[in-house]
Amino acid sequence: MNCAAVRDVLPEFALGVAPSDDINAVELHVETCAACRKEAVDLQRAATSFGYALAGDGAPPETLEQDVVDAVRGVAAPPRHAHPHSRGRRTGIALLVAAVLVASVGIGSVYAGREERLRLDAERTQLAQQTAIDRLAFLAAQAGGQRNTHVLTGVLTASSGAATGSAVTILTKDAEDQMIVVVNDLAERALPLDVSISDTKGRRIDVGRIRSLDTSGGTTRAWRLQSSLAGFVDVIVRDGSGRIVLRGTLEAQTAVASPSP
Amino acid sequence: MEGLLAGDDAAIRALYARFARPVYTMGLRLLGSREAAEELTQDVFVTAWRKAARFDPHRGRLSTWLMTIAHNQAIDRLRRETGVTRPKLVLVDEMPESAQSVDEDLLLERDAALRAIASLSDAERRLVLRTYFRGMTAREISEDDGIPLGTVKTRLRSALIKVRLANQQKELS
Repeated sequence: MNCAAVRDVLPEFALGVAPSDDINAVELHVETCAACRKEAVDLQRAATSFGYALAGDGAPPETLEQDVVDAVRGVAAPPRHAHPHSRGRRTGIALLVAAVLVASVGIGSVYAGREERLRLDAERTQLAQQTAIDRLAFLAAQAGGQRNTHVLTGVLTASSGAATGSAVTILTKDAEDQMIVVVNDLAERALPLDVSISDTKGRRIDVGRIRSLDTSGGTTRAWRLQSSLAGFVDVIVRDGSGRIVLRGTLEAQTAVASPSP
Repeated sequence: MEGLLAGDDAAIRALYARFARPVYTMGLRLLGSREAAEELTQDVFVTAWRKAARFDPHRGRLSTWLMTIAHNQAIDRLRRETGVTRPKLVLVDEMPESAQSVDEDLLLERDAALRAIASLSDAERRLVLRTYFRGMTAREISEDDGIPLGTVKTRLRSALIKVRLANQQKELS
């Protein structure tokens, strides 16, 4: 694609509605063409004005901040503490995180490119699959340091297909209980996904609904619950057709052994 | 951004304090429900962490980068759900006046955006809003309105350039 063709697509590119083939070609071109890159950046900034024009129209709920922090921390932070059998896994995580970052630095795509997004989504899925329990252990270790807090974690497995997942519940005496769920490879499943958790007596709490997944079929969701999760350990994720796509049983988090190096 | 990469609470909260509201309100308007807006907000901040290492401040502002991530994710989702929950067209005239308890920077950013958009004609404004808020492509608008594709693209480009100029003039002043 030459400069003229790229300039023809840039308005739609900036407004987020360019056809995917064009997006890939534009992103490739602007890597090496400073003039078109500047035009792309300027038009994207102009497009952002429309988003800002809405700012102030409705405030996010107060609980959302903690949900966001939990979700980012769940994806971002490697475990700080040793966990049974975790040393080798932790090394693997470090290498994977390093690989993702090294692969990312220097690519310098114009903002949030979709080609990059697809690639990172795939990497994220791989990372998520291999680190889910460690992330949860990290969260658990943090939460476990608080008084009156109990943490349960578990792997979610699929009866068929490649889907994977993990879940953690954080039970706090002085605050609302929380639940975090990580799912992967559910792109083929009908949305929304419904997450529920049951106790040994068969009582069920409908925890929340996952209405969208990233392009690789994964996501991380955090919820704060009015009901106590004490005694609730059986997690089920159903697809939009009501079929069970993932399930697992949570167990109490093993005590932290020692700080990681 | 380094703090965000490390999953540092304070960094995440600082970024959230600055950008959660515009991201959430964008989700609210584009996706049409509070639940979807909350999910979008979570997804945007998780994505920001994943892409944080690639953010280059020499190539643009953090606000543009983050809002572009938010808009792309919202549009992707909107287009997947096209025909089911496509929101009604948002007109700038319907946009709210300044709300209480919104931080000053955000209000300034919003006022600047509204002034820039005010530089457009009604037709230009409606055209851009149909793409930005409804995810309509130039081809879809061309077919809907019965005007040549090239004309739609030219008008979109012209409108964005007007907004860009208005932004630049504001910065110069």
